Amino acid sequence: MPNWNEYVREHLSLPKCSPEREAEIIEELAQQFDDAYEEGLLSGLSEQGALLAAKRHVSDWSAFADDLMQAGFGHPRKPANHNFTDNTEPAFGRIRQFVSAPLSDLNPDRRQFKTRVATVIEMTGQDLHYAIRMLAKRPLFTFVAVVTLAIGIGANTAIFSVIDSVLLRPLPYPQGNRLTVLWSTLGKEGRCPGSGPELLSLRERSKLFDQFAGIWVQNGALTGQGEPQQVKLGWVTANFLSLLSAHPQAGRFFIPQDEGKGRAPVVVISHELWQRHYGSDPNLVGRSILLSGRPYTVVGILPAGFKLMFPEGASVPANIDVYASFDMNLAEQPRDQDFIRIIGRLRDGVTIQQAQGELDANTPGKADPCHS
Amino acid sequence: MFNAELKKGSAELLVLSLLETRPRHGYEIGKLIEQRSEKRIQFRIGSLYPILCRLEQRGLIVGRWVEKAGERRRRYYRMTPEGRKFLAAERSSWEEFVATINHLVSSEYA
Repeated sequence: MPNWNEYVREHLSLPKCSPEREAEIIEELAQQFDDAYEEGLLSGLSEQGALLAAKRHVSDWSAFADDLMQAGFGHPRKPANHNFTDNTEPAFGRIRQFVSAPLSDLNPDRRQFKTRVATVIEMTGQDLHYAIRMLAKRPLFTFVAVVTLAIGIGANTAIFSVIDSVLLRPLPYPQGNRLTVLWSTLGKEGRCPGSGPELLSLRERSKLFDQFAGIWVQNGALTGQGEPQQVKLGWVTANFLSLLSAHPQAGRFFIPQDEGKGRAPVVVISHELWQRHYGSDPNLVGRSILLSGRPYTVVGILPAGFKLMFPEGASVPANIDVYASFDMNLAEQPRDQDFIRIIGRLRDGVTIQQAQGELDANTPGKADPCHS
Repeated sequence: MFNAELKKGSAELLVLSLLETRPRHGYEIGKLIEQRSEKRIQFRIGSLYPILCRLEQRGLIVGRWVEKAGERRRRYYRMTPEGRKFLAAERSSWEEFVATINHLVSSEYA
């Protein structure tokens, strides 16, 4: 006589069941297996044949356990003498209660719609529950699938971010599609920034660009108000910021009178520095700040999110905290002192190739390795 | 043997209808279905037991351990008042459904 209790206990796994509940289930199933076995013997099968016939009643024990859990077998049974006339319902019945609202309360169309919605919600919840259980049963497969998806999604996101920022989105500057970065050629070895005289020469000679501007970045230190802070300081030509931004958040950008030796030292600061170091002070414009030990007057605040997008290798970071106009006369700088990163805006209708041709033609003596 | 989907859709109705007249235990329900359908519909323990669980969880049937002299105790199921209402409604829907399908698939529409 087979021990059906033992058989069911060995094969059936109901981890969320209490021991008492599990014992009941095992006993009931064992009884049914025994009935099937006895029936097999009565029908003339051998003991082995009857045993096999009985066991065939459940061929996939894990699917069987899943069906039981889905049927709510993890929950305790109601007592046998439970009175069903007191209108209590198990949690499973709540959706049914919703769709069984008194018909007099609903018009036919709303009733049908609510029934459909409740059915869809119920079925979706069951499908999700089933999917999660299936995945939990195959941890290695789930792990591999999740990692593969994560790598694929991550790679696609990264690639799209690059394509989006480089190719799909226009530069966040006025007429950004006409802005160029200009380099001096360093013989056959590469390229370098330009010098002050070179920048002025470009302005004088070019007919295909309507503006040239320049920047040189170094570190500075803010002292005086608040904690001393190292900042990125961009020395710029007077037209640099107005070439790259429509208008400031507050105050103004530099004007030609701000640039050059002996002029009143003025700065334009970034929105982020204004928030971070000056607590979004609405009265900052017009006040003096100490920058690397010297007083400068704040004349403007850049709009939020303004950043520079120079190519890699230009040594111009995206986020510069303080811009100051050049306090030197660019014409008086040594011609071979190349420190200015130059940008230019093409005139309407001018191509890069045409612009390059003009620059090549205007090169004063191609033997000079540092001139474009 | 009928298509598994057809069987699945009518399983609860079958089980409830067999509990309408008197309580029965699980294996007996499966055997009755097999006998009355002349073996055209068969439910194994693995299929029938979850159905009983679901019906019990929904309060349509209720189970009780019964011990008879000289026998192991068995779990018998009987229908609840909610189950009777549910059966009546399902029976009516089923009859309407079958009539509709028959009407549509009749040779007149072929």
